[in-house]
Amino acid sequence: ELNKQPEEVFDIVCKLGEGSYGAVHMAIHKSSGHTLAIKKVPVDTDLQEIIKEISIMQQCDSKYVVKYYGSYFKNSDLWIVMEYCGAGSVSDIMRLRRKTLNELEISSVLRDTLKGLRYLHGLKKIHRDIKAGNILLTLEGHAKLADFGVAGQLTDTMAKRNTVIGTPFWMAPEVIEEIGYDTKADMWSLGITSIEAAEGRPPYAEIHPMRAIFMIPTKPPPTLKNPEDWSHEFNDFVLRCLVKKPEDRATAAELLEHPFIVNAQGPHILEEMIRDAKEIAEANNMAAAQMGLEEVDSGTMLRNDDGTMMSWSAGEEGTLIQHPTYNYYQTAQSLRNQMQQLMIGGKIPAVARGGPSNNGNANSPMSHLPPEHAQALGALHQNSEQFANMADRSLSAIGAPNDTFPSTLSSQTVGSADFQHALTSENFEFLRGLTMEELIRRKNTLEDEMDNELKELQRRYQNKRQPILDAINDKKNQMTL
Amino acid sequence: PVTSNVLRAESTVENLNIIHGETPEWLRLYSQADLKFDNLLEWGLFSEGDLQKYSELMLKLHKQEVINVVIQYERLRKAILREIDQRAQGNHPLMNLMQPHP
Ligand SMILES: Nc1ncnc2c1ncn2[C@@H]1O[C@H](COP(=O)(O)OP(=O)(O)OP(=O)(O)O)[C@@H](O)[C@H]1O
Ligand SMILES: [Mg+2]
Repeated sequence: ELNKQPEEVFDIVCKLGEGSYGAVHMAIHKSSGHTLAIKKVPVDTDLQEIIKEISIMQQCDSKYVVKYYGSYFKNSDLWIVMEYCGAGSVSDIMRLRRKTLNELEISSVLRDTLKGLRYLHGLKKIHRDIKAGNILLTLEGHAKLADFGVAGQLTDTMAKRNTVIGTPFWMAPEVIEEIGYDTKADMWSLGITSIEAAEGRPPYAEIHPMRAIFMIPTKPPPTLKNPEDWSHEFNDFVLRCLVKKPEDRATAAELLEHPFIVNAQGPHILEEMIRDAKEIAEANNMAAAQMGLEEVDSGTMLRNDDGTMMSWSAGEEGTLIQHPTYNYYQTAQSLRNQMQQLMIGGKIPAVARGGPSNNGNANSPMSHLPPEHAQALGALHQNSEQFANMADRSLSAIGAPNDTFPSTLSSQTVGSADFQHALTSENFEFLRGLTMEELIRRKNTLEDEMDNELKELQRRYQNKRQPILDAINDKKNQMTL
Repeated sequence: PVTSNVLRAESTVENLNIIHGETPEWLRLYSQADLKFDNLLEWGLFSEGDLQKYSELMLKLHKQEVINVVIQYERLRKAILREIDQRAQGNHPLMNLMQPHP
């Protein structure tokens, strides 16, 4: 059946929602009549990696982890076929009811989630994307972990349409700092998810996600906003998850013994909440139908309400200026030095000059090197030599060859240039020349300015990585031909 | 006023460096260079493994640059807040609205 076209195998019923990688649809498996969920992810690279990851996910077999049945490649979409969870995600339910969960509901959901995590962690697998949106509920109130593994593999794809760093609110400090992490990272995210379930959103959700990135590693661990509204047990559960040092953080197995979890009720406690959400969802769809609209697109609503995705997905293109940065100069300088060290007597040694054609040359002092290495060195040379020259030229074009910035810039009238200059030179003196009104206006536009700059970065790196990805694809194609 | 808490946060933030010395200088230069020079590079000369590595490193460089931009804006934000704070404390608020500092 895997060789058939997916639309011969499934009937797509409706769209269930949309996430950062693509949209999820409800589907009927034609030959068995089973209801399934299909996630359609647009992919342009590294398909093999993703498929490999999905096949690992397929091997996972736990009541507490959403089952993956397989995948199809259709046009440039990857279809990931998985188990359907009729009640949607915990965040869907909160959004529909405009209501957060109470402690009984939270503990019941957390117990299943912990069992899912204990299973995955026992297999030495890290989920990487624990949040209310990835905890799905069946109509009976069983909670299951979704999106396991996909997150890690799709970051590449995601880097292209979204932001490289992703939504940081659930990330453990060690993940943000990229200092190596393990299954304990999921336990931090679980603590954040507990707060999300209780308060409707994760800590720092009101501030810009990129600024949150700095809060998480530097500030003390977050706690429930109003601890007195919650039991000692729930407060303590959150406390045990949100420990900065991963080695001092509780494991999933340990927390299954926690009083908050041991005393949790079964899935029936969630029935009312689930029924309630279903009714609201149906009423919404009815109302939309009466107004002659299409079915309410809950995915779009999700993205609009929760503000966290805001300008992070590509929006309208602002006009942007490319700013010379101090960094740029240093890098160019250092490359030049490096190149000079490689040159002997002002000339690039023949060893380094040779491209792939030189590989067989027995006289070459490099012949003892593995051909790959020699090739790389040759390529490096051809390339970087030109780049060193080019860097010289473009630097003088920008006109900032000194590490102290030219006075022409700072003497300009107060405007955007001053700000750009201040940003790169760390000289904020000019602020004293502004009126209070100007200061306040500047403060208020800072985040927009930053967003624009980050969008520009996004574009630049997309352009920079594309040739590398193309070259990788070429190599892969050469191998299969 | 700048609390010690803010200062501590600031110094840790400055240390947020995810590039741990594994990036060749020429790749950093490439990441910074004007796009019009990019056709000079012949990526096909590298092995697939190297290319894979460079592609990952480019992602890391991108992340680091995002971090750097955010750090820069955080510093500017703090400088602006400090300036507003000083004026609010130092002088009559109406004076500040009307004339800039010398
Ligand atoms: N297996 C499933 N069964 C039922 N509904 C699902 C299933 N998977 C996803 N959904 C619905 O589709 C929505 C979008 O899911 P998706 O995983 O694409 O995004 P997300 O979880 O919100 O964010 P992210 O992309 O970070 O995972 C979910 O919120 C949920 O409502
Ligand atoms: Mg999801």
